[in-house]
Amino acid sequence: MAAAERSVFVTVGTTKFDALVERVDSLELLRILRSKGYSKLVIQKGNGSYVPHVVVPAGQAKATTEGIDVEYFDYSPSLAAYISSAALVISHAGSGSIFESLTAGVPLLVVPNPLLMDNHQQELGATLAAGGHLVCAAPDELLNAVRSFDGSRLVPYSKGSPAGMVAAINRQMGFPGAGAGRG
Amino acid sequence: MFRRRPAAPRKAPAKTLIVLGSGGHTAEMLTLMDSMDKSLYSPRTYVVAATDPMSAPKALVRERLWQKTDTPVGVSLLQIPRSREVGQSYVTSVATTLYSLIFAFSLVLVERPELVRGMVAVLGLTSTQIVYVESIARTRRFSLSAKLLYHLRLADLLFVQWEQLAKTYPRAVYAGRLY
Repeated sequence: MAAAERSVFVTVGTTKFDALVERVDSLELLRILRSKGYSKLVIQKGNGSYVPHVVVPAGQAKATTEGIDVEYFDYSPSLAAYISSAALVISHAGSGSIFESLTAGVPLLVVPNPLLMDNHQQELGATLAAGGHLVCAAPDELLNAVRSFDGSRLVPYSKGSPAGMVAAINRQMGFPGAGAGRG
Repeated sequence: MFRRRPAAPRKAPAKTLIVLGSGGHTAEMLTLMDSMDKSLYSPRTYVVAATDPMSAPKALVRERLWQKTDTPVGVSLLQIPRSREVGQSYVTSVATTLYSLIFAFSLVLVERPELVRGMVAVLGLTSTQIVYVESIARTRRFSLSAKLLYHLRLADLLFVQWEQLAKTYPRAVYAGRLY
């Protein structure tokens, strides 16, 4: 990758989230990205039925549009690599993608999927947004959220640790002196 | 069916049932297992939903890594009906969650593990210790499984991963976040 490349990675993980893919399939988004100094947009669109056809010509998975290099794909086992090399991640609010991005220190904008039962994506997104670790937006607010996004104002997330739970389980089981496992 | 006191000090390893709740929940459970002393929690049986083809292969990958061999020993797999599919209505969710509970309960009776932990509720009448880890995605409200376990007082340790949630549910334990 070129050093000057600033990539935006959109990811829905293993889910379907057409409302998000549809919102990022937008020339206006590309113009906003360009005005903010981004040069590339990669969309991991997942299992949904919506296929991008605005930011790339219909039937094409790759193109340069409005000065932005755009590509999309369904899924990749190496989403972590896309996340860690991105300058901005726009993600569904699944815990995997969220903590992958936060612990990689990549600026993150999450869009909870409003179709999920008793929307716990909304809960996680809102809690982390309240802590200043990410920006959380509804699908309809996405373009404005990208426009006003300022990664420098985010609060770095301190990675958690299983050590406390491990110690409590060991105590409960009668292994009080046990340490953590070997990796 | 009450919270047990911590067990007496022991040296023998504990047979462990690990319930993988699919998706992000499976990832959390395997992250916790990464940090457990596997020689103390052995043999291990993984419980997966019949509708979840992803979790068992992930557990196997981890076991190979932990045991540093392609053919890990002391590991087995059990399938249960899923308590709830994403998008299922709340009313039918209660019914299918109860069905899964009863099924999981029968597993405890058959398997007689000494430790059960996971994202799906499991009942124990035996000396089985039950540990439940509420998902990191639950910051303010319990999942249906956590509500059932909490109010019926079925878990010996019920971890939450956000301090504010432990304030709402004082018998829950906050001991940090997995990520």
